[in-house]
Amino acid sequence: MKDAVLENLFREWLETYAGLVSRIASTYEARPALVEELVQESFMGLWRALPSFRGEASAKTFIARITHNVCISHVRKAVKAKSGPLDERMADTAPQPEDLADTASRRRKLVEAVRALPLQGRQIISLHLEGFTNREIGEALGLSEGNIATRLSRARARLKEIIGEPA
Amino acid sequence: MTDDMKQNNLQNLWTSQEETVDMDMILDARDRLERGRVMGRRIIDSALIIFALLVLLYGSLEFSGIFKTGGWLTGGFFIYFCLMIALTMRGRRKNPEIAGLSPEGLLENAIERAENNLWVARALYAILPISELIGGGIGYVLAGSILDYDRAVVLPLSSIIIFLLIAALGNLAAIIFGLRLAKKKQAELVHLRARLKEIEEDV
Repeated sequence: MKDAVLENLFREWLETYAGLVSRIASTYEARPALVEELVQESFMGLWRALPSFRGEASAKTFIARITHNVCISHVRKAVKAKSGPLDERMADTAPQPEDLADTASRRRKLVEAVRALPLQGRQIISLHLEGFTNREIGEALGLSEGNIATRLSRARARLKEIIGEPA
Repeated sequence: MTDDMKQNNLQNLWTSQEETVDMDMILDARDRLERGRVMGRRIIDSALIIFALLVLLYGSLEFSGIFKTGGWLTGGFFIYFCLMIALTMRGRRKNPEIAGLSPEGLLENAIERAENNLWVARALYAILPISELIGGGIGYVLAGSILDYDRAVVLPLSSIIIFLLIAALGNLAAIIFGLRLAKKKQAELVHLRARLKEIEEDV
C-alpha cells in the first residue's frame, strides 16, 4: 500500500474505531491515564501493522486483535511488575460526573462487571457487546467459532451472576 | 422484556460511552514513530554502504601490501562480522508487535526473518569472496600503476603463497558454511510459504 493510502486509512480508522479501542482498553485497565496510553499504543501497533493488512479480515476485527494484543502485553508487564492493572483498588474511585446520570451509572457498573471477569471471558464479552459475531470474535482472538460459542455462553452466565442481567 | 431485548439494551449501554480519545495526540505519536523508523532505516542503509566501501578499501590495501594486519583471513572475518551485524539489524527492523496479529502475520514475519537470514548466508558464500576479489583486483591495479609495487610487496613469494592459501581456505570455509546455511534457510522459507498458502486457502 502506498503512503498516502495508508495515511488516509489510518485517519479514517482512527476516527471510526477510537471508541471501540477505548472501550476494549477500559476492560483491561481501570486507570483513565493508562487507558489513554493503551489506546495510543494500540493505534501505534495499528500503524505498524497497516502495511500487512490485506483486507481478508474486517477492519474492526483487525483493530480489535491489535488492541487485545497490546492490552495483554500491558497485563503481562503489570503482573511481572506486581502492580495489577486490573486492581480495582487502583481504579479511579472518585465520583464521576457520569455517575449522576442513570445510564452512565449503569454503564459504569457494566464495565466494572466485565473487568471482573477472567481475562479470556472479558475479551469475548467485550467483543460480543461491541456487536461482533462469534465468527468475528474467533478471527480476532484466533479461536474457532464453536470454541467461542462455548466460552461466550460461560462468560455470559458469569456476567449475569455479577450484574443480574443477560449479557 | 425478552432476553434478546435486554441483550440489545446491554449492547447499546456498552457502546454509549463518550469518546475521550485525543486524536491529535495519537497522530503526533504516530508522526514521531514514523520519523524514528525512517531515521533507523537510513542509519542501517548507510551502515551497509559504509561496510561495502570498507570491504573494497580493505581488499585494496591488503593486496597492495600497504596494510598488513594478518592477511585476507582477518579481513574476511572482519567483513563477515560487519555484514552479519548489519543484516541482522536489518532483519530486526520489523516490529515484533506485528507478529501477534494473526497466524498470517506471524508467518509473514517469520518469512521476512528467514529471508534476511538467507541474505546473511549469501553474504558468506558470495558477497564476501566476490568483494575480496574486487578489492584485491583494484589493489593489484593500484599497486601496479600508482604505487611502487616492488617496494610495497615486501614479503617473500613463499609467504605470499601461504597467505593466499590461508585466505583461500578461509573463503572456502565461508562458502561451505554459507551454502549450508542458505540451503537450510531456503528449506525453511519453502515450508513457511507453504503454510501461509494453506492458511490463505482456508480463509
